[in-house]
Amino acid sequence: MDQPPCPPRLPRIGEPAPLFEAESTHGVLRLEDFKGSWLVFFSHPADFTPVCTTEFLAFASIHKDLRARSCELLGLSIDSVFSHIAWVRRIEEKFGGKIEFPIVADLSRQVAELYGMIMPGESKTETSRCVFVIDPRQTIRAVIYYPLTTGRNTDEILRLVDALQATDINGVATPANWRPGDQVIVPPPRTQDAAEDRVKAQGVECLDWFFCKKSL
Amino acid sequence: MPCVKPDGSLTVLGRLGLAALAARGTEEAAAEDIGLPLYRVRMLSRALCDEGFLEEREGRFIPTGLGQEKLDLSASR
Repeated sequence: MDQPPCPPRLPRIGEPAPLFEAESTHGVLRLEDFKGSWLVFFSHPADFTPVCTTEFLAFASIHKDLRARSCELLGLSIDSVFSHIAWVRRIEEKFGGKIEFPIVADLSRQVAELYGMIMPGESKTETSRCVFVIDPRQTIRAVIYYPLTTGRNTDEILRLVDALQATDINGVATPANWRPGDQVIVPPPRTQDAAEDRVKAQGVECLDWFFCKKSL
Repeated sequence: MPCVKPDGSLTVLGRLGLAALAARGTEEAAAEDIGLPLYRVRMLSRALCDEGFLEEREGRFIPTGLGQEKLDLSASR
């Protein structure tokens, strides 16, 4: 009996981001071109669609904020580069939003397959609303998937980048709904002695030995 | 990143990139000079190398004879 083909494997957090070279609205780019910067790599279902248009305006509005965090932005859909160019121009004309980040034209679906951006149960011809946050060493640090019908919250993407950067710089974790300036979580001690020391530590507020916060 | 127009002359970005990479030698320094993100300068340097205007030697970009001709031409305009 024939086995059904294996579905493409989704890249996972902590793994190297799959390398690719692709045509984009800024020319032929490679993932390695972004080495040394953070990267928010996202897919959208299709050009000239309403939810995607609202998302592009929202991504454009956080682009400067991301760049201030050494983070670049890269879009992708299974459309031609000509369609991308026409849509970006239309967004500028009709909505006043300037799209300054590159958009991959993935007509061959090679990159979309590599990143598991197509959810065949939802659509076989469009990419879902995926977001990959990739760090300067090109490791996948966070993955978000949204369905075709729900536009993403770009404020959350900015918050996610802030949280990941705070974690890397300070060796801490961030609690639910954390915002820059809020207290962060100190990783729990892993030995009894360390737990004893932790509850007596200066500059750390502990509700319990395993639950300590501090200000950065 | 297209750096050459159909008539063979350099695009604005191609000219800027070639001049900055020739003068500064590295993508990082060129990016600072032109005020472009580093990834765009990397795309540009690859395109300029592919077109035969630049070559990379020991981590530094050097204009080829053809690249120098383009630079001289744009300086004389």
